[in-house]
Amino acid sequence: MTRRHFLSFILGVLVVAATTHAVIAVSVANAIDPLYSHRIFDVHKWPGDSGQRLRLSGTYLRERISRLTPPVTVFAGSSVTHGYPWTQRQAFAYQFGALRGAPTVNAGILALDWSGVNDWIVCSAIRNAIHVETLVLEVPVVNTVSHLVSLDRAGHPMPTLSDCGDSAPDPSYAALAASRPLGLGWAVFLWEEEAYSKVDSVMRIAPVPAGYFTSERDFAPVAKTFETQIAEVVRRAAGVATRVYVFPSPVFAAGLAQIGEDANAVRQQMRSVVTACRGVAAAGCVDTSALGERQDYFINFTHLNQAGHRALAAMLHEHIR
Amino acid sequence: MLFNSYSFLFLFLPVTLMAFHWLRRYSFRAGLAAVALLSLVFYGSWDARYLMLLVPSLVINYWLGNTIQRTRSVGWLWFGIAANLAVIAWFKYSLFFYRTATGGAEAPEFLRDIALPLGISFITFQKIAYLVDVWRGYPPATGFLRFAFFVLFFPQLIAGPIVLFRNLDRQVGKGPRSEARYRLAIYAGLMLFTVGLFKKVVFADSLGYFADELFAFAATPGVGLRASDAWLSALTYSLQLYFDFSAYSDMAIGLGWMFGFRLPTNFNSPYRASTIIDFWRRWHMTLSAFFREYVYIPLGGNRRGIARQALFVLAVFLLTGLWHGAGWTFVAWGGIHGLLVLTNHLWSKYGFLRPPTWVSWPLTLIAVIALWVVFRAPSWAVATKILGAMISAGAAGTPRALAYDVLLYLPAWGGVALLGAAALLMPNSQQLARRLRRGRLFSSRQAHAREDRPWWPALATGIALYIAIASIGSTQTKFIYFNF
Repeated sequence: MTRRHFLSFILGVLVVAATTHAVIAVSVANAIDPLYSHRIFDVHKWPGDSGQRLRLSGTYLRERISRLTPPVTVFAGSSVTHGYPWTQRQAFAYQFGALRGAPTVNAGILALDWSGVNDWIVCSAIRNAIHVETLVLEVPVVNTVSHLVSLDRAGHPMPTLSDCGDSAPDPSYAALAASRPLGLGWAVFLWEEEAYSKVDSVMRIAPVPAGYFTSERDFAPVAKTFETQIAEVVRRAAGVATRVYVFPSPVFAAGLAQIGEDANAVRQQMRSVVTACRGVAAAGCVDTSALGERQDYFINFTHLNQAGHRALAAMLHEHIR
Repeated sequence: MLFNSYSFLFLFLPVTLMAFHWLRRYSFRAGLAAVALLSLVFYGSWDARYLMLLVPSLVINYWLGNTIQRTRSVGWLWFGIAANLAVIAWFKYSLFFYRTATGGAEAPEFLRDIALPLGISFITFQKIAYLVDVWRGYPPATGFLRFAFFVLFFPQLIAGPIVLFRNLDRQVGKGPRSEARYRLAIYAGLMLFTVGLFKKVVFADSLGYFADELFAFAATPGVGLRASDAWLSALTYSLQLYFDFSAYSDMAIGLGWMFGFRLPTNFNSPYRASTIIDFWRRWHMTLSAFFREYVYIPLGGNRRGIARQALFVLAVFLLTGLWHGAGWTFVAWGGIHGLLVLTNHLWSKYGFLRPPTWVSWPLTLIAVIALWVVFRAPSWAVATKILGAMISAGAAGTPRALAYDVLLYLPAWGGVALLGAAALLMPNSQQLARRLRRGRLFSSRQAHAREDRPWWPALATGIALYIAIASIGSTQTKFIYFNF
């Protein structure tokens, strides 16, 4: 093999590889938004480090909102807002948009607590200079309280929330795809596991793992931090939306006694959210505890079924209207 | 350091290739020495403690080879074989033997803490083959460097193919090749390596996701399996194992070419085999060849009557099973394969009606696939559960294992169908290698390739290499045969 042919082969491989990268990047950049037009993708599946993952929500908000005609309502929260395990259109954020006749953005991220809502959504919005008409914040009560209690039990100081700081805007889809050669990893990342429509179901009461819900006694030492941090994030969120609404994630409190859990403790934690919210003048506060009396709205103690999502959408629509 | 890791692809391999090809222009021995030393880095990157075993073993076996050649003593040969087997017995089987002997009693901590050095099964067999060959009269290594290069040459160090000293050293002895042939070797080697990398990252690892989920589901106590679950488990693992191991062999052979050395072929479309004997001529060919040449034939092969032949066949396959892993499922897998091979031998020997290929091929394939279940299952109970479900009547219905995510179920079957077709119908790496070699690679007749090279090799290599490297991501998975 001559040197010329050898070098042209090597050069050819490199050129083809670079071209393949460009083609895949463009394809991915154009595919993400149609695939996730009604809900953020599962950021936890991103194969990069947590710093990169944190920026994905900013990328999503920026790209999605730029494609919508105001007034836009953004929903931020945990798995309830995400609509787990239902499809994008079965989640209450989409149902709300249908009732209101206006575009919505579902930025519900699985397994977040309140500090996550701050870091992933509010800070992302600030970082990308996003301003929308309405921002609806779900306070993931169970996740947040149990996290604070576990820190308290371990003797750690109560955490402080990120102040969002100064940071560059997050990349566009095109820049993201161009900067990360993922190959098949794109298919894994963009594969939506809740994309197929499932039949609605009603929960069967079954025990939860020990310590899943927090008792009144354990909640007492962290209650002040909990309320303070809710107020802090809500105030910060007022900078990215004309109107901010807050609601505690619904819990089927009425059934807790049947599994030996303290229903009053959970109701108290949900009331704390509303109390903290009311302390912020700019915020609207939605008490979702009424949903927690209806077993037919839940698939388990902390997640709504499709009927529950419709009911929550109607409740929020009624309040915000 | 995995072949499918960024550190290997972007650091180790370029550095080693450049070091070898630069040094061999001045001194071929220096090039070999550089590769041997860098291979130690490659091996030590897993765990530097392993070098404390590898290097002394290297020195001792070199000395033993020379001693056997000098004294012609069968005693030294047996000592060498015993010493090598003792090492593997300690590191790989001591815990298994202890648990077997004590009926599953809790083993002492020092036994539980023994870490299996990578590639010990392959390295041990290569050294034993070397000692036996020397005793048989093949010339030993003419210097420590050539022996060290044979043992340490990184493409075959961890998981084969099992290279014989006489085959590799013959190539070393020929010295450096022309620049044109080295260029052709790198060109062809890169293409074969890319084929292997693509098979590993894209095919095997994708199938492995499903196989792991399905076998974990099957192992969950109290859950029932449907036939569709069980078949999907068996098929995904059968294809994963084939693509994983043949990918490693392709990569190893491709890497060998890049340095101008030809390593033996290890796979020849095994799932096209129409008999179980045929399967073993196509699957892990260098292991089969080792057992045939260094165990079966020395024991007596088929020369000492049918009863002894049967005994030898069973012994060889029980050893094959045990070689793959220290567990009774591996022994059972080997033993059942032995029985099938024996039946095949007897069938042929006594002239029973030979079934047409359209009958024997599916029967062989089903037997092989069913036995992979035994091979993969964490316990005999799980294996029988899956095998039982495979022959159960309840073939219809939603598969339970992936029912939670129906969207994953279709790709799983789709992947099995596509990749199964690829394994059966596409040209295998051996055929591809033959085509690549037609470009005068390793041919003594003509030292350079055609001038009118087509553009497709660069196109295919570029696309496959990009997709494979990009897909490696942050979760590189080990090759399955690294465990053996």
